[in-house]
Amino acid sequence: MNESWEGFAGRMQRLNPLFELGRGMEVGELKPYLQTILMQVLLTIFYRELNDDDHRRKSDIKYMVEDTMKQMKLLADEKQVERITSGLLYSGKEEYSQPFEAYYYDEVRQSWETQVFRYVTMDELYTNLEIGSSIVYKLTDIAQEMIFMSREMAEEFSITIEQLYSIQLIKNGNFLKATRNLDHLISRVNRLMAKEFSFQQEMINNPKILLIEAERQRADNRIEIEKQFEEEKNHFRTITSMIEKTKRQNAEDDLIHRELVLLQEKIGHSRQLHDRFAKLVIQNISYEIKLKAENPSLFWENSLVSFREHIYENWFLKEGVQSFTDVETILSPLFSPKNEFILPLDWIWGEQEFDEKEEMEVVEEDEEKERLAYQRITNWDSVVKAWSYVFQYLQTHQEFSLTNLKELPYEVQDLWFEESETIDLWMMFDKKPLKVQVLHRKEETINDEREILLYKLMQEYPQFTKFEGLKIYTEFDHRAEPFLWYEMKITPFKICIEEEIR
Amino acid sequence: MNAEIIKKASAVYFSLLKEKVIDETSEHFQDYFEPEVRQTVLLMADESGTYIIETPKQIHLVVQPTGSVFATNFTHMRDKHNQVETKKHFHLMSVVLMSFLASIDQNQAAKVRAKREGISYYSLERQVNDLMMNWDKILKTDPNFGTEERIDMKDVVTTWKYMEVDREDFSLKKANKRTRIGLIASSMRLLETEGLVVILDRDDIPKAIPKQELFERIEYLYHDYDRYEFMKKLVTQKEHMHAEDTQD
Repeated sequence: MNESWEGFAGRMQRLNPLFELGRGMEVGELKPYLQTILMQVLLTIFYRELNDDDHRRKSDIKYMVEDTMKQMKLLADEKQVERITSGLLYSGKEEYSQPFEAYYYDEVRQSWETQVFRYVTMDELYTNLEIGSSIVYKLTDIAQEMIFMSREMAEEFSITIEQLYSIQLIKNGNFLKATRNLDHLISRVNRLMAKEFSFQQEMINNPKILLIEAERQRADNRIEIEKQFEEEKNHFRTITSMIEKTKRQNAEDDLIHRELVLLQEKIGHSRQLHDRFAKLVIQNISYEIKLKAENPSLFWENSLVSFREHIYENWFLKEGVQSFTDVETILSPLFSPKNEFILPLDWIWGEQEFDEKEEMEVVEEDEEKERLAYQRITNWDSVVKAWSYVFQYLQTHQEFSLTNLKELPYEVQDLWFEESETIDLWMMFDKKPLKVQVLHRKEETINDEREILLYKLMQEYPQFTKFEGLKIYTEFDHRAEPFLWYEMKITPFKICIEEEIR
Repeated sequence: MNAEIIKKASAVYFSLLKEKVIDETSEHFQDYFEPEVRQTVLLMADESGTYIIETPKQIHLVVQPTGSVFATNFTHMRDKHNQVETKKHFHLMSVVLMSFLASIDQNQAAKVRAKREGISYYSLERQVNDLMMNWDKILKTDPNFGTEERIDMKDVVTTWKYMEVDREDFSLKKANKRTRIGLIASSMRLLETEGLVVILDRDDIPKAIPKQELFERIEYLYHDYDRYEFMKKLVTQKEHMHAEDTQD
């Protein structure tokens, strides 16, 4: 075979992502500039990654596109910006979040193969899975390689070569460039570290990956990684001593001095990263040994059946279902048993005892469902009747404690359970003091349920018009014990009235 | 069996019932792995119609396919929605769940990393649609088309076919169960409340990211040959019973 064919597939796989960048987007007159714009965006993401800046969400990438275009004196509307952004993230329609595809010719197999890749991927270290917010993106290896390639540092670039390069740059007095070069070194370590980290997660979660050939090779390489680290340290020492020397030589030159300090700081940072990386690698090795020693069975079991093939493809998809009970049989064991039973009233009262915020959320959800299900109609007659006893008491004693409920005649107590509104109103009074001003208003204009109650009370029992102008407030007795009233746990508080100070 | 063991075992079992999953930081985790305690817990689990899933870092409690003395979220839901239309809705949700499981299921752990991207609701919609179109074909070519026993499936297919994918109106989009995306959202929410998936980019193009717990359950439930055979038997048994019924 002609030597021009050697490693052809590999070359093409490197170049394809470059060729494909920004292709197939319909953005009209912007088309010729797409690659330049996107390359700048990739660089921006790259540097943000480097600086541990997590502003790499989709919305941030959109801003990067906008900024870049502004800088390049290009004009675009919202839609074009959107399109360019999603075009970097996914191939084709954004909704399907598909990866990019390109063909390459494999000279060994003598066939056309498909290469699947992405430019950006989820950064697991920054994306908060617990909160479930937006995805933070980082460059894929492929995109990062594009950036390295653009620096003419394509082939197999190892940390050591980088080191030598830095030394060379320092010798030539090009400190700023050396600093930048260290950036790449740092990113390289970051990358290795992230890989090692996710390998660790996977190993813990699924020890079987240790059986997969490629991963085992990685494991074998561990010792070599360590050796390389030793070399790293030596190189760092060389750079540091060289910096010291240059420093002494150029003690008066402020600019050089400043650059050197910067460089030194970067080296320190980079060294720390390497140390962290080394620790991670060693940790992984020990995990691996531990896993193998303690859970050997994990490595024997091999799945004979799979959900995808045996259940979904061969049965569900192909044959359909006779009855959906079968589907349920299959799916229900995915779920944990649940034996929740909450007494609704108990729960409502609980609001007084626990943190209000927490409870509020739950209540909201349920209320929505209820509202959909049926419209609740309150029988105000019953509510008013039940409450008339309270106000009667209030009129003579100026205060009414919840504990008194128990002492009301039984037939009155029964009234309290006819309408849930009756009991709910207690909570309303607990909210904030109410100045009674309802007598001369129209019923339709009253929103506060307490005012509605008072209005209705006054209509029904003229003696209650005396409450007009008074302030009704609640007082909590800290010494009082919560008491049980028909399976409801009640925290006692008092409703009091206060005459307006004239 | 001594009282101490039973005490420990029930402490483990009931905390599992409360927490669904306990991990190695729990005091019960260690207790569980005492052989006698473990035996007892397994016995309790079996008697109450539940399975215990053991993984290196966690223990899960799930219900058996034949049902448990405890209601599950899943059965709960069906009870709540007993009208015909919502039952159909429930069936549709089951279909979505099946498709979702299939799309994240894999034998090779190495693929896990690729799947971390999550599945967007829209690509899930495509997948379910492929399934529905396939069923549609089956229903059309099958001579039994329209007979009693397949009425469920036909209903589900028809409902799906006439469902809008999405609403343009953004404000309606969120809670709308009548669209395909809305349906997928409620199915994923079911898994989310169970702690099996994480939903990201909710306000943009939502994606469901399977959590390790879900992979563990899939592995335990569907990758075990004996359990697979057992489930197959359950399903085919019912089919036979059904077939006999209609013959009579």
